[in-house]
Order: sequence, then C-alpha cells, then structure tokens
Amino acid sequence: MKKESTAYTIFFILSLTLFFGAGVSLVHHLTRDMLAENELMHHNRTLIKAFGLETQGSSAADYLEAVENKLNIRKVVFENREWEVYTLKDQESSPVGFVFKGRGIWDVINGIIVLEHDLQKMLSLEFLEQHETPGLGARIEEEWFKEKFKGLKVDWDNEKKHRIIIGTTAQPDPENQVDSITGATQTSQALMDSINRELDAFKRLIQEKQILDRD
Amino acid sequence: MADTPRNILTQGIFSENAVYRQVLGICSALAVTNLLANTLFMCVGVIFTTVMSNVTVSLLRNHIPKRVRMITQVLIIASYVMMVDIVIKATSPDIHRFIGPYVGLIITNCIIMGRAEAFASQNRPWPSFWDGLAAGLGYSMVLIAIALVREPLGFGTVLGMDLPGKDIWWYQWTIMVMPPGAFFMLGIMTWIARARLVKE
Repeated sequence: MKKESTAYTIFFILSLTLFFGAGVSLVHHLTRDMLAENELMHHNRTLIKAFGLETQGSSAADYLEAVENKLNIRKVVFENREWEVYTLKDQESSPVGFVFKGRGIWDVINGIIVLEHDLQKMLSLEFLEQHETPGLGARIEEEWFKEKFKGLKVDWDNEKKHRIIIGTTAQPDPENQVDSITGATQTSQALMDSINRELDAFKRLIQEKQILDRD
Repeated sequence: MADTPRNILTQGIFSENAVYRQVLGICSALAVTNLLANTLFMCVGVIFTTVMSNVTVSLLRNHIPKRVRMITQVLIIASYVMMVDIVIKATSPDIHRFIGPYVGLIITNCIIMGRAEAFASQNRPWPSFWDGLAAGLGYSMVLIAIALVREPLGFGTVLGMDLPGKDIWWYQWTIMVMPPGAFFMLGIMTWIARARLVKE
C-alpha cells in the first residue's frame, strides 16, 4: 500500500484512533474508583458547607460521617426525576435543601440550595458542577457571589421567572435581587432561570409529597 | 542532527524559549499563574504532553501520510492531554476544579503542536524527546517565575504557606490575583529575558 494512497490514509487514521482511544479508555478505567470517591466526597463536602455544619476533620470519611449523622436524606421521584431532599436531623422546622439541576451557557450547572423551613428565604447556594467561562461565568463559584444568596428572599408572589432576580430589575425590590456578574450576563441569566424553575418545581414537590409535614 | 541534548535544552529553555520569543502558550500563562500549586500541575501536564507527543510523532514520522499529518498530531496530543486530565482529576480533584478548563486547552497550546510539526516530524525520537522536554521546561520556567511574583503579592502566600510577618507588612495587590496581573508580569519577563538572555 502506498503511503499517500487514500486506502492507507484511512487505515492509518483508523488504527491510530483505535490505539489512542483504547489508551485513554484504559487510563479512565484504571482511575474509575478514585473518580467515584472524589465525586462522593465533593458532594458531601458541598452539602456540609451548604448547611453550615462542622466536621471532625477534612477527610472523605469525616464528611461522610457528618452527612450520615446530621442530615436526613430523602430520595423522591417527582415529575420523572429523582430529587434529593435534605433536612437536619433532630431539629424542628429544619432548613431544607435540595440538589438543583440547571443549564449555563456551555453546560450543566448543578448545585445545592438550602431554604428556610417555610421556603421564604434562601439560606445558601453551593455549586456541585459548572463549566462556565473561566474568569467570567465561572465566577459564580466565588465566595463573594454565593454570599449574596444568604438570606435572599424568595418572592413567591412574583411571577415564576422573577422569584429571585440576578441582575437589574424594573421593580425596586432589593430583597429578592442580587447583582449579576460583570461580563457574564448570559451565565447570570441562565443561573437565574435555572434557580427559579427549580424553586418552582421544588415547591410543588414539597406540597404534593408533603415532605416537610412529616418532620 | 548535530544538536546535542545539552544544546537543545539550552535553546528551548533560554535563548529560544517559546513563551517570550514567540509569545506562544500565553493563554494558560495568564490563567493559572496566580497560585503556584496550580502552575506546577499545569507545567507537569504540559511537559508530559510535549515530551510524549514529540516522541510519538517522531516514531511515526515515516508512516504518517503528509495530507493528514496535522490531524494526526492533534489526535496524538489530544489523547495525551485527556490522560493528563483524567489523572489530575483522580489524584487532585480540588486543583482540577480550578485548572480543569485550562488542562483541556493544552491541546490547543501552540508550543506543543509547534514542536511536533517543526522538530519531531523531521527528527529521530531521542532528540525529539529532548526538544519536547526543553519546550516544556522553558514554558514552565516562565510560568513558575510569574507565579512566584503573583502569589506572594496577590495572596501573601507561597504554595499556600503564609509569608513571614505577613500581618505586619503585607498589602494585597488585587491586580496580581486577576489575569491583567499576569499580562504585566509576562511583559516585564519578556523585556528582561530579551535584554539579558537573547542575543539578537
């Protein structure tokens, strides 16, 4: 087969793709358990942070122990999706948290929202996964931005898409509004849409499944 | 090829350093240099990728059809970068969360493709190994130098450890935390390097 022939070129590229594809798959396979452990630790650590809880140390086992000892975790299937709802153990009128799933401009934005027991205020917002533009949209993960959501009013009387507002608004009601990130208007808008949609669905879930009434 | 490993290394790291001679690979130089730990991971990733892609391209150089040589190089580079990405994600997930997007961008780091095309595709594996190492070390040297200024001025730390007497004398230079700080540092470094290390 001549080196510059079409048949050789196709054969060469196919062989190379197979070889390197197998190599990458092998590395992925060998690290699969470590990746799963990291994922679990990240989830538990974010959960602990969202609820403002303390741990004995900072190992994966410490976070797991804190989650198991301090939080009630309920998995509920609602509207074709499995929801994870968290409340504090042994506490009346406990804050309630859930995993929200949204979309940014590039990819998914997932995280944990913790609300007051009566759902009137957000207590914290933490991110599990986001892939926004580094230096711009990805700044949603920075502490100063997340800090703004602590104590933010959820205005249930407002229309569905404006119960919390990220960015400017015609209505002068700062209680349910935080500033958007400069240079990341689209990410801010996408995050606002996701949170409002998830809050709405979460309220329906709470009402229909009567989750908090059983605490 | 008359070049000895020593010559290749000296050229790649100092006189022909791709960052300040050709202004290549500066996207990541700006992005990951505000903390030294992130910089070191990035440097290891780039060194591994330049060395491995150079050696692989060199080994295959007589078998690669000319019209698909660029796509072949991209395939090889992308595979090694994905391996680096997976390994960093598995071993240091917190650092990966910060530098993850830039690790993916190693694929488009012009230094790597530049060395594969300009050197490895025409030379034997052993010199190509040294050339890849030199290019990677040259890139690392500049990044580490920038990080060694940005982290102390921006955060008051080196590798996360507080500077001595930080509370008394240290004052935060916010600009060093942000990407423009790296622009200034890169400019100053290029100036110094071209004045002192490069003979025009």
